Amino acid sequence: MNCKTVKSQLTDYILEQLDAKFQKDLETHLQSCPDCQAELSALRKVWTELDAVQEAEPSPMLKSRFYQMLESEKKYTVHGIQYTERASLWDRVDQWLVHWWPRRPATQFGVSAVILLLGLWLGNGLSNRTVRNGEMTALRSEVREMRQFMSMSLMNQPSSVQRIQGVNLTEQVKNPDASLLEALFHTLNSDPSVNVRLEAVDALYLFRDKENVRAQLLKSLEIQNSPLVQVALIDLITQLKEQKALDALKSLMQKEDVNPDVREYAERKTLEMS
Amino acid sequence: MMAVRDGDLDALGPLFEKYHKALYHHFLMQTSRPQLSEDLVQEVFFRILKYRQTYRGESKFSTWMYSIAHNVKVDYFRKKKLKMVNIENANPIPSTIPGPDVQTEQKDEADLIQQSLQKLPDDKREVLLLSRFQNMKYEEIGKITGCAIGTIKARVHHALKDLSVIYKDLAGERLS
Repeated sequence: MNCKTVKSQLTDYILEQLDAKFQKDLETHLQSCPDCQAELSALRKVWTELDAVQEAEPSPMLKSRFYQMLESEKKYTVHGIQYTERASLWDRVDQWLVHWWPRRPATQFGVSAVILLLGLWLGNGLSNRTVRNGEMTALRSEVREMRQFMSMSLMNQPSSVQRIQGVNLTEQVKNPDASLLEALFHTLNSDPSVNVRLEAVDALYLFRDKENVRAQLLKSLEIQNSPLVQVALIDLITQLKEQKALDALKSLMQKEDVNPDVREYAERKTLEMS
Repeated sequence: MMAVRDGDLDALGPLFEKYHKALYHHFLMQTSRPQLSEDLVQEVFFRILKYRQTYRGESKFSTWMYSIAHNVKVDYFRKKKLKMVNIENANPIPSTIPGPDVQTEQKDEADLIQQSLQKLPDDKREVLLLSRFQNMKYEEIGKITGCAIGTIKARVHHALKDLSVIYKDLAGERLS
């Protein structure tokens, strides 16, 4: 063992951190080396001198401040969750989440993965539903427009059979727009075929809740000259159960050219209503 | 400390009673400023409370506490951009022991070794103090300072060797 090795281990020798064999070899060297002995002596002296350092006492304020801090901390710790005096609502939410968030990284990863998958699944479902709802609305609108278009096209055909098909098709339109209602009334008032006009009365029966439909029906009764259509309209009008309908029937009865059977039918209905 | 971690904050009281003086001494030996040392002790216990959930009981409480103390000291001087005070700039540490004549010589020796300690670089002084006054093994000091055992072993050795030279020089200056 040379001096360099011995000198590098002298602190460990003082601290008694060498293994037994190494320590014995070092002591053997020291016995025959005045230079290493001198260095050991100097190190041991300063090591011992450190004993002279008095352990200073802190002021009583240190203890007082610590217990004040502890009391303050206890005041803002509820159910093991730490709140500080300066903590904002956000900080408290943050601390609450920290309390619940798993500590193990593997568990954190697992929870994150589950939340991510859940989010993807929910997001996908909502997205599909939104798309589906949007598509359905657009499709319904297209079907309605197509039916209206077909109805109006058919009602303009020369064949009465096709015009009847057109009128019947309007029964499948739930919310007809103004142009379709206008086409139906045009058919009711001016179609040359009585059968087509009778179909128009039946079709308009479905839309009798609309104010403008009821008004147009009353006007139509005034201008109709076919007894069959007049009787069909009287049946429809009497179901409206309103004063204007009664007035329209009375007006019809006063006409000189009205069919006697129609007048009698109107009188009977008037009596039923009044 | 496990009780403190689990919400029994009163359990920190006995730990404070057991360790605060040694911790104060540890800081005082490094800063030579009593008030600052008290502030640093307070900061260490504040952080113990604040980060109590991170204590896992894998190391001794004292090791964990001194590692916090190491960080507190590093943070403080980094924030304040202050260097560790040298003895020329430091206020003398007030002795807590009355100074009768019979103790004058002992007091001189204490002052001399304290002055010598202040001359040491911060990193060497810290490991020497932990080894000498806290009786810590190299492995424990390594955990506190975040250094390898070999580094700590060499650092303690060089700290003691440098201290011996500084002490000898200062003693020579006094005699001359």
